[in-house]
Amino acid sequence: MKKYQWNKMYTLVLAANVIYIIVFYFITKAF
Amino acid sequence: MQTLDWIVLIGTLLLIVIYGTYQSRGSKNVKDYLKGGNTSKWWTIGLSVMATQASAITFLSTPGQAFNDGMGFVQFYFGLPIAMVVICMVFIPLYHRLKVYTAYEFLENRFDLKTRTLAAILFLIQRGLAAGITIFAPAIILSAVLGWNLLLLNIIIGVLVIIYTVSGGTKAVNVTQKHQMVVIFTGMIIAFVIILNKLPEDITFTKALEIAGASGKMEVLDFSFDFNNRYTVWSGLIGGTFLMLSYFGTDQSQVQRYLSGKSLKEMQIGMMFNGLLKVPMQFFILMVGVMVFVFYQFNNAPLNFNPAATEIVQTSEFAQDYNDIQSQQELLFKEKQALIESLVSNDDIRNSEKLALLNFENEKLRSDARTLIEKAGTQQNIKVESNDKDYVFIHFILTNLPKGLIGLLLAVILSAAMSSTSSELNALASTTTMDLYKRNTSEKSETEMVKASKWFTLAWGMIAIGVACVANLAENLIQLVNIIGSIFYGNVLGIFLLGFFFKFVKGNAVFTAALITQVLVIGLFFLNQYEIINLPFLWLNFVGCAIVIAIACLLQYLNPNTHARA
Repeated sequence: MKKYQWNKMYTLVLAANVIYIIVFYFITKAF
Repeated sequence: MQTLDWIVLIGTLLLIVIYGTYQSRGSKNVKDYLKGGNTSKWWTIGLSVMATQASAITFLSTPGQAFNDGMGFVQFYFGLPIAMVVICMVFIPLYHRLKVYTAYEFLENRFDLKTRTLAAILFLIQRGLAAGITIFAPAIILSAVLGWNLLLLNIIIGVLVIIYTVSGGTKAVNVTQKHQMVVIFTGMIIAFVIILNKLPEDITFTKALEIAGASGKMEVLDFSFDFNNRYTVWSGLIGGTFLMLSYFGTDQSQVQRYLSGKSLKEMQIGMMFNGLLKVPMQFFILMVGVMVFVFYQFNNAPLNFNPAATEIVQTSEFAQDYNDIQSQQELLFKEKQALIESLVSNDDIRNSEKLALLNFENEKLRSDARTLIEKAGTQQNIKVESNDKDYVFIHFILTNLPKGLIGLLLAVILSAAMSSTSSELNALASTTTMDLYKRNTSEKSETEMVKASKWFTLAWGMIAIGVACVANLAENLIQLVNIIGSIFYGNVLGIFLLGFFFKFVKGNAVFTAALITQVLVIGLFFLNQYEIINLPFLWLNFVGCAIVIAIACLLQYLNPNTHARA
């Protein structure tokens, strides 16, 4: 068994947060 | 406050307390009382973790922060999802495998008893004081705006929390937090909708954002490397990750929330739930503040939102000067009105620049008013809070929300205070029971341990109320608590990271390194205080963590035989 196991939901949560930051970037630019 | 508000406020709070106490009665053993019998599902854990972090000050102060400085504060939370992933991968599997009751129990398993005791004591000092401030901070604001008795309010909040936390332990904390979060979300969403409805009819949401943007309130991201800028993408990602790792991974008030999970998977999903929703939630709370800012572009705002501060200056020799500034603000408001009308009808960029300039002038007037308030306070020998950031949202609630909803929003604030305090008392009692009492007394039966945990919860509740009651007397207690937190956190996180990732480092090296680091971090803090170095407090977490790891590795390298187990 691997010591530290990666999980698909970690990718999902990190990706969601990257998307938030991208959205914030466009909000900053737009307003 | 109308009768309906009182009914909604008292009804909501009492219902939650009574339901929580009833649902969680009859814990027979320590596992039931301190880990909620390991029955929590992921949504309970997720909501509980969020409710613990979101104190009343989050809902009072964050909208005010956005009102003054815009949306940039959301960057503070950028490190949270990264920390959640590390905690799910490293911290939770280990805690789960070792079946620990407290995070510090792991340290004895990995190092020795003295390292466990040191970390537990650092937690108790810091969290014990912080629990008092969690009660005091909203109480002082509510007593100022509503004229309620501060001591009585401190005692009421504290006693309500003590009732269900002593009675049902972790299960009661989890059950009540779920309901408290429902009340909090409902209240905040209703407040947001009402603010939007109170804007003039031709102001759409996009127009409102444009008006906020024209005054720099929509600058969410700051990529600069300015150390003096507290909230940037980098400080959020780096400093924030370390702070959130310490808080969620080593602070028992959070660790206890996920240790109550039914299985490893439930604990991990609960934390991921937090990682997914925390940033949007903070964004939403800040957006409420920005919309309050837009609302006051169309409605007269007081020069200072703290009524107690205004009263002091109005009864001083500076009253005339204060009224002069107020008249200037009214003129400025009329000028802004005309400008906003043309800004809405045609998107001329020059109007945006003019609006920004007028709002800048308005800020200057507010700053002059603050100076007058401070002078008046000094002259009358009265301690007064001239910074009205924390009073903006509550002022809006009390003056603009319909009856019934004022009661609901006050229930939101008090629920938030109670949910954070209950987690803190629960964790303080667990740490005292498991890390100090059980470890230093003869074998006790399950019933005796539950009884001891209940007494410790009660004792910490009384201490928290005591701290809340004297907080107003101490000059800078809130600041002191924040400082203590940032001074200890990095060091404790470093001890845990050494335990997880540096297998060759043993107990004696860690213990000595932790003591040296504590002295060094306190030294750095004072060097910053006296402006010899420039190190904002958020970075103390990172620095403390790095120093303890470096020193422990060095000590272990210099003396490889340094290992002792209790």
